[in-house]
Parts: sequence; structure tokens; C-alpha cells
Amino acid sequence: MQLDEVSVTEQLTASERLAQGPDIVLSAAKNVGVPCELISNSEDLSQFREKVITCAQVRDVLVIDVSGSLRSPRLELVESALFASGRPVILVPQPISTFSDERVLIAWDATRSAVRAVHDALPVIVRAREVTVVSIIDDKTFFRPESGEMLCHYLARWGTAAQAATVTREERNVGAALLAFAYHANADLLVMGGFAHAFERELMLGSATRDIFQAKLEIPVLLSH
Amino acid sequence: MKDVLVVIQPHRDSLSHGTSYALSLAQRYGAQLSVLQAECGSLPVMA
Repeated sequence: MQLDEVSVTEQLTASERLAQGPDIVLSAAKNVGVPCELISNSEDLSQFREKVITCAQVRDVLVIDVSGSLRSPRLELVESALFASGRPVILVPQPISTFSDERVLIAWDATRSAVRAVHDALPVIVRAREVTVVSIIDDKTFFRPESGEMLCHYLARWGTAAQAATVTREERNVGAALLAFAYHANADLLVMGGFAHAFERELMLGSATRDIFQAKLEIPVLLSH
Repeated sequence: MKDVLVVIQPHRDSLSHGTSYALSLAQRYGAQLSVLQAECGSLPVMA
């Protein structure tokens, strides 16, 4: 059975809708032939974050659904997973419920975290029909202005014909500019680096990361640190 | 991609949009879906 056009939710039977918690996930996974492992959990909130981190460390990606701007305790959970697991996190906003890799947008600022995001997302990027590398050119200075084209050249070696684009943020914050570009490009997934540094034992989010966390997302965003 | 991890909320009677997305992602890549259920209070309930 394929899920290309129909969400998993729509494939559930009435009896499956009545099931509770993990049972409905296990049932839905079985219906579409996806192996599913249920991880037991009995930790409290602080230990639960550690549990998420240790589980994510040995997976390819962590998916977390969001609705509106991230607030506590979901915010802390996302921060923990993103900055401590070493694995990418995909934030999935409502009403998106089906994965698509048709059009992938890479937010490129030539930073280490952006590089990490590209490499973490390579399995998706190489299967995408359209890949656009977008750089905001009025926020930070690029050491190599042609950096976006250089990334496209690298992706071509993976068989991906990516296109470079630039955008100015003008009065908008970086996240808003990226999300607006993604919206107009009809992107299915935004890939970007997530940045934070420790300040007196508290995380100080990078501006673009903070913008994304505070935004009402309309498309999934893959973040890597 | 071999293993997709999703965190689910407790006491749901249907798949959340994120869980559905993770499942379709796993199906697309022939990956396993790993499911970690949050305890009450560790994630705000969403529709």
C-alpha cells in the first residue's frame, strides 16, 4: 500500500480510531507495511528529555508535531533533541500529515550548522524533484558570495540539479523571510541549520532558529545543529 | 534512512499529524518507525 497521496489517518478503520495511544500507531504502521518499534517510557519530564536525546542519537531523524509557535514544555523538548542529540529534527505543523520530498528548499548561510543540515538531509535532497538553495544576502556577510552556487555544484555530484537563489529580508526577520520564500516556492520541506550557544547555563538561540521556533509554520522544517 | 523516531502524546484516539507524517516518511524510505510516548504533562496536548 502506498501513501503518496492519502494520509495515514484517512486509511484508518473505525476500530483503529477507537484504539488508544501507541496501539493506533502500531496498527497504522502495520497497515502500510512499516516496521514499528514501541519504546517503553516511564520517566518524568526531565528524564523524558534525556530519553528523547538518547533515542534520537541512534535514529536518523526525530519528528515532532507543532501547532503555532513552540512553547514550554515542547520548546525545551525540541531544544534538547536538536542541540544535544546530534541528529536532525523535523518540525511538522498542522495540517501537514504526509511526507513529500518533491520540492526541497535549503536555507544556506555557509555556517557549520547549515552544512550539517545539508548532509543530514542528503537522503531527502537526492530524491527531491526540485531543490533550491536560498541565501539571505542582507543579513550576514558571506566569505564567498558564490557559496550558494558552490553548494549546488556539490549537490550536482550527487545527481541533484539544485538551483541557487537569493533573497533580501528587508524589514523581516530571517525566519520570516525564509518561510515566505518557502511558501511562494511551494516547498514541501525547508532544510536549515539550528544554532545556539550556551550563556550562563542557558541556551541562547541563533536569530534564525529563534524565528522558526516562534513562527507559525506552514511547511515542515528540518533543523540540524 | 533506516529509522525514524517520533514522539507521541498520551491518550490520543487518533494519529497526530506529526505521527502520520513520520509514518509516511518511514514508508517512503523503507525505514522503521520508532515510537516514544510522552508522559502526561511532558507535551502540551494538541488537537
